[in-house]
Amino acid sequence: MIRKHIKTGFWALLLMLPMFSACHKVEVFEDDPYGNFDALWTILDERYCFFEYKEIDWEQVGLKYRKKLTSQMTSEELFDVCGDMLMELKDGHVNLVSAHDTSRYWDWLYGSPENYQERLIDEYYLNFDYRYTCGIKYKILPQNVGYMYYGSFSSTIGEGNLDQILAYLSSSTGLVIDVRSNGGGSLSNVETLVSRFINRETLVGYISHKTGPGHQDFSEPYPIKYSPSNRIRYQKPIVILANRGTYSAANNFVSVMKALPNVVVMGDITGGGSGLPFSSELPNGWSIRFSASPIYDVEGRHTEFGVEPTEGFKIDMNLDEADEGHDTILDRAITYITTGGA
Amino acid sequence: MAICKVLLCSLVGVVLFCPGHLRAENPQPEKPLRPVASAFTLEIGRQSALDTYLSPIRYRGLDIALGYERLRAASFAPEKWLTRHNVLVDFATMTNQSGNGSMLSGYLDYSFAMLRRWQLLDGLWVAGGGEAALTLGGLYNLRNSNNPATAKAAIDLGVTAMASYHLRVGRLPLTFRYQVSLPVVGAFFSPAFGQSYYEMFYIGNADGIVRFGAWNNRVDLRNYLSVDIHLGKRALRLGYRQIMRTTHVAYIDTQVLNHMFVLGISGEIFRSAPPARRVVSVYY
Repeated sequence: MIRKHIKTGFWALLLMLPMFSACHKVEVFEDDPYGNFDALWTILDERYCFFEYKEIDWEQVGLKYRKKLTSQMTSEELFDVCGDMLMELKDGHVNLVSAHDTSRYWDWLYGSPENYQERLIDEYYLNFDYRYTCGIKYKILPQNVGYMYYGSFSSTIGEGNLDQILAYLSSSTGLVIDVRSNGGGSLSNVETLVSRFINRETLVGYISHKTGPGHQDFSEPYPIKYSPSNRIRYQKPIVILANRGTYSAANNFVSVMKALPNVVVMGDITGGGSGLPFSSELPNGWSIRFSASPIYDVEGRHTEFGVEPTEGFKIDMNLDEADEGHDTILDRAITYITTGGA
Repeated sequence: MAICKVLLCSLVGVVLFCPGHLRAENPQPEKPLRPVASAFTLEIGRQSALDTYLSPIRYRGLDIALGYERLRAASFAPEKWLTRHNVLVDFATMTNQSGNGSMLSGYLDYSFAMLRRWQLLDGLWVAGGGEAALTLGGLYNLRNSNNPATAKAAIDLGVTAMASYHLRVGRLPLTFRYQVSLPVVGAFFSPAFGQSYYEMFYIGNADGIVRFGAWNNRVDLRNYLSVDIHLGKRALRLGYRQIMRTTHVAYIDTQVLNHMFVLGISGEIFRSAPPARRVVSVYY
């Protein structure tokens, strides 16, 4: 009798399985213009993190661009329609990648001065004679001001490299960290660098993530704290140089450093890009990258559209002076340090 | 004189063998031999994987696994109970339907089961029982940025069943066996819908990443059909294994399905040459 009940129960369990499995049905999109467009729209609708902040009516955007589809359109025509739709997000972290092109939003760069000339720095300030390691150029300028240029947070900074750099710069009266035209990279490099300029555990911002597909489904902001390095730390005044090309992880670096004492940010407002990007893909194999998880500054504010320079230090490069070998922004930073903060 | 010799020998015999006789007359039955039936397998097949944390597109590709199985009659009631250990190391390399994206998957599965056995006919038995399982692994999408991989870790308690039929075809002994495992409750790891591994493990926001698992959010099913072709002391194992792993939690769907052809060596291991003792085999 018991045996019979056991067997009956077991088969009943097995028969119940499809009922539960049916809940797991995942929407499948066709590999045609409409299917790929709908897949792209849906991925962003569920996972993009700045709809509310940017006040974007994604439903209307979808309707507007879906009207432009035809079932016979070429792959390149479809790419153009999708790329135009993505421009509505005004987000440099949004890229649609196909075999023939990559859509990108760089409008914030086009409408602003570049405010950085690498050749000018190399020739007139570094005299083509500088130290270079882990993606960082560094030198003590004649005014006894330390100068570091870090062009990409994708270049991994080693602790040993930083020890060497900071030991070399330790005799300077202050340090200029130039992250102009730094397009970002890894956030872990931000912490590695910042940990050399703090002396206690420091709240540097918050991170949040989507908890569901709704545009308002977000977790509570979680505090991001950095610990000081137990190796060489720099304690003197620091000036950060930024421009509109300072983006993503570099934007985060500026946001973090700006909140520290003894730090001044000079130059232009940064390019922004505060959403941690995720990736996904369409049935035709195109890859889509998008902002998925917002990172806020220490005050809990978005920095998606950039970080302002410290008040009173918004400076554009004077191109006439540049022609004569002067970087207006760097000159101001040197003066600031050599005059003790004037 | 002759009678005296007989009596003397009988007396010596009784004295010498008395303890042995006393033991033999003890009502406690002699413990049977319980040989270990083990199998080492190489498994090749196809895997299909969908994980919406990584991509809404299903990936498919070659699946290779190494398996180990160990069955033995239980010591406390050898005719009625048996234990089973299963280990499977599985690796798959897959592509998406357009062929421009790649995904790797790796899993380590271990399970321990205890089953009640019912002998239905000569050579035919069925068994059912409970199983504890551990799963470690993950999926890695080679084209993603901050969501390149998703880890899979779970511990489960579930039900399992087996059926085994041992027969001879001509002079060739064969053992057909079917096993099914179905986790019922457990705990498993999953990020939140849009949560990055950077946030979980670098920043440290790991609250809620261990989920209680039941059929409302996690359904796994493992089927294993095999035939052991006995060739002397060892047997050639041929079989088919199917593993279904599904989760639906935090609006993230994971569906991983393996179909594998199994080729291996199996056999019973006796710790010493079997004496004339009763053997409780899990083959028949």
